[in-house]
Amino acid sequence: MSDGHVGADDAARIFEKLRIQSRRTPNQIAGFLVVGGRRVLNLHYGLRRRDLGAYEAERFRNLLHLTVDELARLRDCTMSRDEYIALLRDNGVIPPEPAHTTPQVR
Amino acid sequence: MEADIAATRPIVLLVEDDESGLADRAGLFAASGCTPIAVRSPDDALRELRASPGVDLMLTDIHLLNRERDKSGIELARRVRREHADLPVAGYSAYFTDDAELGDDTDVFDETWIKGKMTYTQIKETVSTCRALAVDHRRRRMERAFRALDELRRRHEARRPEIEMLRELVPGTAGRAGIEGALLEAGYRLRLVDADIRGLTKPIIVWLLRVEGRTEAEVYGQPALYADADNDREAIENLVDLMHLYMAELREDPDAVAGPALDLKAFLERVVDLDP
Repeated sequence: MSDGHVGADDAARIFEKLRIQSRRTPNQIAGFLVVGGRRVLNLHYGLRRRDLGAYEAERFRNLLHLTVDELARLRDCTMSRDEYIALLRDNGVIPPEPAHTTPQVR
Repeated sequence: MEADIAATRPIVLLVEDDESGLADRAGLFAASGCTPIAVRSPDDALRELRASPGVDLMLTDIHLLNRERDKSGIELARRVRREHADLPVAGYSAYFTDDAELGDDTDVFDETWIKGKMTYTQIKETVSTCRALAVDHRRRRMERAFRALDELRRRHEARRPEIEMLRELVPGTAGRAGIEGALLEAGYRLRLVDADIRGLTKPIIVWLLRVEGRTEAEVYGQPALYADADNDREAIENLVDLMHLYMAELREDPDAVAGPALDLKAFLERVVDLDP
């Protein structure tokens, strides 16, 4: 399915897949995407409706920095967490992965 | 600046107890290039005026309560005059049919239409007159703001946040004029949220939009901070809850932040009480 529809169940599944450490307000679930031990992206969705509605789904997609097709792939489980993070890096949303520094052997 | 004023829609507060009459007037004002805020009682009108610094005119029915000879629209106008001396206020009445019935009471208004039930053409004339008053008020408000901004810049060269705050209070100025104009055109309203609610250290400005039968609130300049609810008040409360939640999360390890979350953290540290 390559549409932008997102239900609350879909949002919860995306949170789980991205390992978002979420907290609740009375009406929302929110948290940060953590990459390399650092919080890089805030994400949230409302709890009051089973279906987020077209407008909120669009806002949720914007929070994720994804196109409609990319969101569908993330939602439908064909995009992994690592692929999503690589996509954010490719698009310049989050900093590149730091180069590994290995001790030089003399 | 003239072009900026022309590009923005003056905000008109409409007060009318009759729901269908209110909706009709709101439609006419929207069609004439204004952004209407429609309320049905004096209390709601005063609340909107406190919360929305951008209102450019109030138009109220005079007979607002269903009781004989009620003139609570005039009481409302007097109170608005006391609290917002500069704001143009206009009144109309279908209940009263003669200026003489109201006597000097109508002096509180800049314009009145006391003609009994108005024709469509007469209502359109009120819209046109009110729009002209509202545009004029907006022009004066912006001129004052520009003068204040110049003065602030001169006196406090290094204090950017306050200057930013003032700039943001005047939609349609500076570099964001096009975006703000488009948002206002699309039905968004700007609203100031007082600093004293739920541990905010500074007032924040939010965009409000009715969409899909709900109100969405978004922090000005922070598109990743938004929340919705059935009405304006609850949407703002949900938004502030969300800001506290994010701040609590970020405070757990303040140095372990990168990417877009850095901007969010910098903003929240400015406006959210760290020790509520």
